[in-house]
Amino acid sequence: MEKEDVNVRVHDIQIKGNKRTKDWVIESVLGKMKEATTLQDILLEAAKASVQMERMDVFERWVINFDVGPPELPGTTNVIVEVVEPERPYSCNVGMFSRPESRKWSLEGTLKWKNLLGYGETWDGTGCYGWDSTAENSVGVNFPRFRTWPAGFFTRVSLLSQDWHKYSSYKERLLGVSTGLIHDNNHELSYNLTWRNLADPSHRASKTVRGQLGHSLLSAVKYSYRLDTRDSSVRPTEGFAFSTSSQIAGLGPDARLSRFFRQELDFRFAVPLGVFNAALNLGASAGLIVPWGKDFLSKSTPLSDRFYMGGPSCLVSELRGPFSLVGFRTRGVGPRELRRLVKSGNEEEIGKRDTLGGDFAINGFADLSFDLPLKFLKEHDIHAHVFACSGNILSLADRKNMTAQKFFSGFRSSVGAGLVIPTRMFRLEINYCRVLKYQENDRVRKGFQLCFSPP
Amino acid sequence: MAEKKNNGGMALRVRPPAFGLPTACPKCLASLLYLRLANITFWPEYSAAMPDSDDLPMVELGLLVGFASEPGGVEEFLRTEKLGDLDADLAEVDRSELKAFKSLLVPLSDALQLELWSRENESIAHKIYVSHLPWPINRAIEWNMRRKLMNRLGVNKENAKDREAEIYKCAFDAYEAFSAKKQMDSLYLVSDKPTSLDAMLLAHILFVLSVPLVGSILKDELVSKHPLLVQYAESMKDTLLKSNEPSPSDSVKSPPTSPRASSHASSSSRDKDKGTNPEPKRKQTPKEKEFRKRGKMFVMAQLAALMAYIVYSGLPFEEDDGDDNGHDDD
Repeated sequence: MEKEDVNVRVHDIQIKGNKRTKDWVIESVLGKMKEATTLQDILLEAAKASVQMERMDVFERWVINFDVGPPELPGTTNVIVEVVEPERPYSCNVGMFSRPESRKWSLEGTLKWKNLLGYGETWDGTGCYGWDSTAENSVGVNFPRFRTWPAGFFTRVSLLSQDWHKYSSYKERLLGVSTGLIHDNNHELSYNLTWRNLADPSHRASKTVRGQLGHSLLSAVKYSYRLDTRDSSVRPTEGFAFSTSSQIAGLGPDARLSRFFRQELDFRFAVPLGVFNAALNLGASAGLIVPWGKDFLSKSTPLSDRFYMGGPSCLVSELRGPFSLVGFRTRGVGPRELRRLVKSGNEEEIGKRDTLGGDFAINGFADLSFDLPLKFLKEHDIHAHVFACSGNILSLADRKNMTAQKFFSGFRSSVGAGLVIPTRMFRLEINYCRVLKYQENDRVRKGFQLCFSPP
Repeated sequence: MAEKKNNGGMALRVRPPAFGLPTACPKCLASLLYLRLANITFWPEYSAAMPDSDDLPMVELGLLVGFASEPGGVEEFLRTEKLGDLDADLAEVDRSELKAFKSLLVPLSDALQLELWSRENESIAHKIYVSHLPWPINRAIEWNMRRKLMNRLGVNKENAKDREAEIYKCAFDAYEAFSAKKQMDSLYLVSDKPTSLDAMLLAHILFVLSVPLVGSILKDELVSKHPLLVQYAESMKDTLLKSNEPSPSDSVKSPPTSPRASSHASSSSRDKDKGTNPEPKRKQTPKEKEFRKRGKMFVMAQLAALMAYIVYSGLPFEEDDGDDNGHDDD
């Protein structure tokens, strides 16, 4: 068999053990097995089918057997697929989580139901309630294989409320449907239709925020490409990662849709230094959002889609755009505007500002990590790092008066050092930061900071 | 005498114009006419994304803002901030009469809303409130606004005819009262100067006369039985509806980029942290001190719990170093 092809054809495919799953779902996984003409091709297709069955994640176990075909048809084989479906196709997780950046707790629960309709799909419902009455509820369904399409298909309906009152004097409610057509390790293509409503119940928003309150509809396609060759996302010592995300909103004949183009780029690079398991990580991120359509130069971008910089973040592991700038508070960097003056109100509120976000953001960092000379710490891969980062964030309204000198002088920068505790579930950093340069009205956070990031 | 003040920096945020009116929303129109009668300089800014908000109309002067949803609305804000008061010079007797007649505006408003949100005038309400929003959210908001109004008015399928008759009767009684009041030989309703009552009633009448509501019972009643009120509104129409304000914002859908947003992002920088906060330093209140102390304790408790978990669970970090031991699977 290793030296020459063995001519065998598939005569019949039999599916056994499926009480709920439709036959065609399993047959579609087998791909081109029926068209295979050699034993080698049949075994290759069987291996591919095995991978697909695992991705579907709706069976407890499965086995693909081959039996001799009917005697009157020599050179044929029958393929027998036996599956065992789980008795309990549902699972539930509930937990309390803390968010150090906002010093709040939230109760989160997830319910999953697999193969409810027999199409190999997974249904899930997620609820998240914060102690500050923010809430996120979503229901989704994921089809790992949709008929004969080569890729999976997922769709999700979500109702989300976010409270940005503390930073920008508005609360946001979103009701949306998102549908993904491509979703694999590198590529993701999705369409999102979301109804947004921004409100300010406290009546203290600044003029710019007041002008953006109300209802809007987002109809957008987003394409993301991600390539990560680093040896680890929690403690990378070698390799690079690249991520790009492009979103175009306003798809549809209705000119009243929110219209903008948004682009994000991330790049990470890790170089091993050979001693003390040290590695130098370099990274840069940039983002741009511009409106499009008639008179686009006079339009402003939606507050919800702008870039915001600041808050505790792990520079090395996260690839989510120009968000990170250690040493600054959440949404603490960038254009800000004075809030409404309420004469009879709380004196503490006087002089406070709303963060407006930026249309262009760029940041970069350098991080040197190394082992500490303690056996206990080495065993648990707890190591130290020193870092420096810098970033800038601008509004499109600044473009007319912008010069190269102004642009570079507007950069903020910080340095720091700390301890990194990587675990299977997250990467924890305990850092001490010192801000070297900031702009007027930035909200600086000096001293010790905690940061969690998923692996 | 009403205060005359040149407030060049005042903006009135209202719903968009339509049907020849500077703003097609009856509530916003009343505030706009108030400012014009008080000779207060302002410019209109249009907000089309908040059709169901009670905050409109709102008046903005620098950092000072007056919302319609706050007690007394725009009128009270102007009075409190000493920006204008049409009722300032009224005698006590006239002031009491003013309050009494203002209560008659409620049934007029209810009847007008009933007509505007009826099925026959669906397209009119759509044009005024939600035409600047995209489909399908405009339909959903329109449906919700109609439902809320009918609930507030107590109108349902069973009692629609009776309840409508009741609402119209109250409105007709209000017209009678205003007509009788206007018959007395004066230019305005209460005194020889315009008051807030004039602004509100004129807004109602001008809306009824200008907007082409289908089967408008209010319009028929006004035109046929209350010519004095119609004449009163027509005589003021050209003066009140002709705009003397600076140019309004160009776009209704997306407000222009605010120059303030860039001015506050100052380009001044500090090369060294000299221990001063970027925001104006002020004395911390006891509440703030307590909050900071609790925050630090929270962080320390989290850290201690995490370290204990790591130590006592013996949680290893397993990294796949990619070693291939050279074993074949066969």
